Amino acid sequence: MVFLSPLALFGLGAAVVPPLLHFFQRREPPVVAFPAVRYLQETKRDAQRTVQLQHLLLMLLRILAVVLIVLAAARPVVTGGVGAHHEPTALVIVFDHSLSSGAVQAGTRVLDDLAARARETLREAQDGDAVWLIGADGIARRGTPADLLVEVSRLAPDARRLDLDAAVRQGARLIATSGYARGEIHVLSDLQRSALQSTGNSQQSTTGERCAPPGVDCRLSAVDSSLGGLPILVYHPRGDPPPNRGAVLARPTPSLWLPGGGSVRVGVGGGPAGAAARTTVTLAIDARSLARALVTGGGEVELNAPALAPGWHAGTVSLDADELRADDRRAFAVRVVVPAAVSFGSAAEIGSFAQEALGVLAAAGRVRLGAGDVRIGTSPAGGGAVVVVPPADPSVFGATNRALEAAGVPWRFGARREREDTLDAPAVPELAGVRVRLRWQLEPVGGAERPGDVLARAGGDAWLVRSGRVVLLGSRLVPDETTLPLTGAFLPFVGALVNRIARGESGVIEAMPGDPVALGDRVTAIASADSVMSVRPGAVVTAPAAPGVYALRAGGDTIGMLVVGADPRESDLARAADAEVAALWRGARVSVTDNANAYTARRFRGAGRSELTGPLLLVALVVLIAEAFLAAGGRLKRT
Amino acid sequence: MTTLASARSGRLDLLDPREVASLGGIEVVARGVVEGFLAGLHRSPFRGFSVEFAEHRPYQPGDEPRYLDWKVLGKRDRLYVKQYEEETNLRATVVLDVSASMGWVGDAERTLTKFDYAARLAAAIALILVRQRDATGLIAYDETIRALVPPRARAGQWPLLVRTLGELTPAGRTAAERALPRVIELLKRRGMVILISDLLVDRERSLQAMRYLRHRGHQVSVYHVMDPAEQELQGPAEARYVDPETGDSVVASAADLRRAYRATVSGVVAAWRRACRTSGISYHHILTDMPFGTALRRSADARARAG
Repeated sequence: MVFLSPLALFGLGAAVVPPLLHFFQRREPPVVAFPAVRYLQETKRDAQRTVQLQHLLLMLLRILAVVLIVLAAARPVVTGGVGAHHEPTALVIVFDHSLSSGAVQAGTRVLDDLAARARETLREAQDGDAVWLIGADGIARRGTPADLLVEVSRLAPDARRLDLDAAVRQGARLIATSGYARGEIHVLSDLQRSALQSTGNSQQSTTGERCAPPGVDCRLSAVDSSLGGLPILVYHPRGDPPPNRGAVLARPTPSLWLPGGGSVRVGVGGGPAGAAARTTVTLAIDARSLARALVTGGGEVELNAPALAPGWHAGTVSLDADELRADDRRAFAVRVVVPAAVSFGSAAEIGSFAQEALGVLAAAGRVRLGAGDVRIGTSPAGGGAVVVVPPADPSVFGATNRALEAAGVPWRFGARREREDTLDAPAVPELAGVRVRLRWQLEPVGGAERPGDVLARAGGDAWLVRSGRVVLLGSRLVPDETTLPLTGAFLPFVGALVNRIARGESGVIEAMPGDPVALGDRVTAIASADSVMSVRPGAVVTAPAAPGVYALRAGGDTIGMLVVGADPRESDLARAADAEVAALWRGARVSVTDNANAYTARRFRGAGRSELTGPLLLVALVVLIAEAFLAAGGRLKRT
Repeated sequence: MTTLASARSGRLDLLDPREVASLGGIEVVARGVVEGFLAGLHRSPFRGFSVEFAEHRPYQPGDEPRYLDWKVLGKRDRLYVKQYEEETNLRATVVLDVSASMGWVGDAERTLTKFDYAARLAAAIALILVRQRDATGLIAYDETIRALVPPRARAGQWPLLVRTLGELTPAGRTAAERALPRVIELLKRRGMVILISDLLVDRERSLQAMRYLRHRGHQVSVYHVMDPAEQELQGPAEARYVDPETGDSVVASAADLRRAYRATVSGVVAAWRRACRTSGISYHHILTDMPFGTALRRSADARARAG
């Protein structure tokens, strides 16, 4: 039993009023002259016990009446009962079976708790109700309660993150267009604080094809609904969420490995609750455990991998088991290539520092000197990848630009600019902090840059550009134009330039489940360990729901890898406060509870349960009638 | 309607005592009541038992038809009854309780005080007796003898009785058990004793005195006068009920005790009736809202049954 207005229970204190009146309100009664007092004395003597019992019974009846009325005011509700019907209602159940719902809390999986609530609600739904179920994929499925019961039983923790705010607003729009006078949204979730942070135009916007009823656009991007006055009933499991650590980052460094090996940067998240304890991180590549390290929650560690054979390699980083197993493992992929064969015209053309650097790298086995994979020069002519540096002679720029145009490169060298700026190159960590004194502005032909072409900028101008297999540098690699040759990052940069940048990076695409992924023009299929899905070249596809590594194929060749990993925010199980929830859906009538009975009592606006207010008032009325009859000395019976 | 019809027909004995009392003093009321009462009877309620003829007197309704003088009727076509010597020797004494409790009335708008009712009843009884030429007297008492009119059969006896009754007012305590021995001393010759009281006295001691009267050869009739409000307890939810005579009080709720009180009063009346019957005493329970004629008829019927 729960009380919809528990504050009214304070009124139970009024139950002491009848005894207080009975015992303390003893005022002197009026005096009446009556000669037959002797008869009255005799009567009272004989009837004393009966009268006392009658008074006691009266007092008990009055106390009982007060208690019954107060209990009725508190609106007690019990589950089940007679007459559990409600008016036809448009009901949207937002069922958050995202990755975090797999956590075990107090011996029970969160998902099982939420599913139990969903099943109760669906069993209570009536034929006249319109019911939708919105899962972690953000798709609203309409069906009969029986159909949706089956659907709920099939649900498992999903690596996709559910944007609760977007789902609720989608539900509100469905209710608004349903034609039903009454509507409710039930949010069954572990109520992660991160789940309330809207992602805006999220991945679900492309997945509206399964939305029902037909003709209704359920994509979250189409949501524009008011929550004014709408009942939103939020249920989350009772108790604090368990501490959790999750592998939130597994990134090979560098992204393209040479046969000598590389390292993998591993991040451990999980929010403040899991920050204190240390956990073991294990690195495995090609199903072989290669390295281990201890790391505290919230920290990062770099694990070195031994030499690997050239080719594609899939690996995982895994943590010690905890209450949420699904985020203890994260996949990654790395491509191991042989050192690039580099050729260049002369030291005057590329600068002596670059020439020396290539010599050192060659001596270290990081590059091979000679024609083959990459050529460095002032012209894009020739096969293979080309790194074009600005010519030392300004009169040559016209010929260089014409050659670039002839090679189909949509970039050209522009005006000379002499200003010292720091490079901004997130994709090329080797350039961090490098300053540029003199540069030739790299200008896109036609005025519009292609997304992804610019790898580094100086003062807002493009400085390092890649277009196809041509890479353009805005400055010559000499100390007069940039500090780069004088820094320790020069050798790694030159190595990365010829091995990774010029040869087209690693070919690894990272995505979260359900994210839209733009595949390259050459990709014709996506393959997992047990399936192959053909795709149209250049298509944008939805990343698979299951985390893992998928091969991107062009014909029979693997030309890249798609690494799907869960949203790192799913590892942070910290729960949002009730006030945060209410503030998020301001205007709606938000009710948050962790009590299954309270949730049961409040759904369908409390109409489907047996509220005891009426029966209690009826009993109170009967008690008051009995009290009146008894107080009147049974006059009714005598008459 | 019944009341108006009764008034027009002169049957004051059947009217509401409160209305009858408003018509005049004790004398007027008693005469009216007796006239009406006797008109409805076939024989006199209080008769003697002598056989020695004394004189004739005009027939009055209620006289025994057997005492009609048929010869006079045949010769003069008039109704006369024969009076006998001993009949005039019946000595009747009305013993009236005038204690403070007799002055109480539950609802002054609807009923007379017990004393007013008892005085008019006593006057009516006395008038019937006097008309039969019985020697009729009056003793009024509370703790002591308040008034004494010795029994006489003379013509001015009844006005004297009425005047005496009119001068009495209820006061003092009732102690019949103490007053009755004095009454016994005053009733040396045997006769009829008519006790009119609310009987708020010690029953056993009072009965002992009445039994003694009975032992001395008196016919004893007891009129237990009670206000309707004494029979049916009324009052506020809770009140302190005070006895105007003794000052005794009790706090009680009328609603709580009404039922039990009614049973108690019924028990008291039944106890008086039973005790009187076993002692050969005639007992009559009279409520003050009862028409005087009804009260008189009850006593007459009782006497008729007694032979």
